[in-house]
Amino acid sequence: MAKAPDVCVTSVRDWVRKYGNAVLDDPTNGIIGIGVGKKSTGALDDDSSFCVTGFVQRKLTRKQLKARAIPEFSASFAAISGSRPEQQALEIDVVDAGSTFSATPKLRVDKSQRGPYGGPLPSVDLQKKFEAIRGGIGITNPAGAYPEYLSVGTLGFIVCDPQERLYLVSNNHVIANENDARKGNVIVQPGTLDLTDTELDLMDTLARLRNQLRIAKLSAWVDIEFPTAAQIPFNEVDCAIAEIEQSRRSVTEVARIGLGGVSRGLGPDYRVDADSGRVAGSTRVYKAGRTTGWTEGEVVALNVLTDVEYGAGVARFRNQIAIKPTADNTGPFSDSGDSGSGIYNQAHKLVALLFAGSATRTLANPARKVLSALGSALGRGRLTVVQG
Amino acid sequence: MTRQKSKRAKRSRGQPQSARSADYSDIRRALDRHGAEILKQIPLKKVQLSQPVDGAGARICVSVEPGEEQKVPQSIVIRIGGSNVSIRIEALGDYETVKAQKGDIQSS
Repeated sequence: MAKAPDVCVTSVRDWVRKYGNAVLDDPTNGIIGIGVGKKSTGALDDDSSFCVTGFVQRKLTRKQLKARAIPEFSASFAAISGSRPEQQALEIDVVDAGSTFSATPKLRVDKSQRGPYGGPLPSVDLQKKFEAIRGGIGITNPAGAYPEYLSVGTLGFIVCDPQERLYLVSNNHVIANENDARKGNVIVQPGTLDLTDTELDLMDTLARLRNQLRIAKLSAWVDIEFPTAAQIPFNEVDCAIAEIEQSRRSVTEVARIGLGGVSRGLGPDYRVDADSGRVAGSTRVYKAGRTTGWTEGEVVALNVLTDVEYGAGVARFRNQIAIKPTADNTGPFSDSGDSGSGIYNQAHKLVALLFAGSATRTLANPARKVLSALGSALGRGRLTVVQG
Repeated sequence: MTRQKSKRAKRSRGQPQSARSADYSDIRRALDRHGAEILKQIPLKKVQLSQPVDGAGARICVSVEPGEEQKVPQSIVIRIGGSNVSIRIEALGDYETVKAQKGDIQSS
């Protein structure tokens, strides 16, 4: 049977309020804090008595107290309030705090981790739903897969045609499903892989998903050509284009690249100088992608010829750009889900479209080839990269 | 089969006298237009070709699986613009599988 508290909490609290300061002001008693506690030193709702609790740095025996001429808490109590605790129907207890009380240490970081605002580097969750469309955020074409399969790639950059219609550009394998899509397929943002369980439950059919998250309609793509029995064709681009439905989301930020500033339009092709054998100009590049965010890389090879694995098979590519992360980058330049990212040079000009990678390298299509190929596939005249 | 490949690699190290040495522009042109021809002269399946940008001489880097470098010829000859051009090959054992970087899973 639970024992009822013997002492009323109010009388303990009143004593602490009345005499607490005096207890702490007495330098002889060793008390560093005082409060309302339980005789059991347990939780305040247990069934033991309330008591006046005095905190000390280290609890001493009566013998040690006597040797150091420190008054017992009960004596100090009596000296301050005029009578001993039992005479006032109060109980006391002394608790070992282990040390003095100190403010929680302030946040300190290694100098090398210092960002522009004194903390970690700024970042943005590129996997969430964005109210304003921009490069670097997660998108996908869910047709033929949702809800059984979930997927995500990245919105690379925005272009406009001579009639000033706006389009988003990404990879064929992100928004045209490796040649398996249809013109008019709805592109959704965020990618279905980034939806929460609740969102997946609320949008449990393709129709509901499209209705809630659509941002664009697939307009055109360049087929990825896979090997046949007769030949192994070369590909140069993995790209597709979708017209943005301006009534669905704000398009005020179409020139932005994640949190990495704005696009300054189309950059020059990389060329190896015929005399020096080096790339003319800087080889430093940046990208914003759904998975690895804003990363920094270095162009390490041009005119790369390689096989690339897709869901539908292996395709051969030539004239690709190879990129490695810089030493300042804390991880890979790209990873799964970054496909479709726009890659920019130091002047924030678009130079490439990210589409594939290995353990240490990223591969990208030259941006000018992408624009030229999409311009032909779309058939609405020259495409211009939107810039801020 | 491996023996046969080694013989081919050894034979192609000999540079025909009529072939001129490639410059940086030839490397770009070769990779742009003669990819299939170059691949035919490298007796391996898992191969990546690239033009390095380190300024350390006009050559094609050939990435193959570790231990396969010896099977790659030290040079190849292809016809560019009507003349034979000899291209220096640098074999590297750093071949890596390249995958399209879309993220996808089967829904649970």
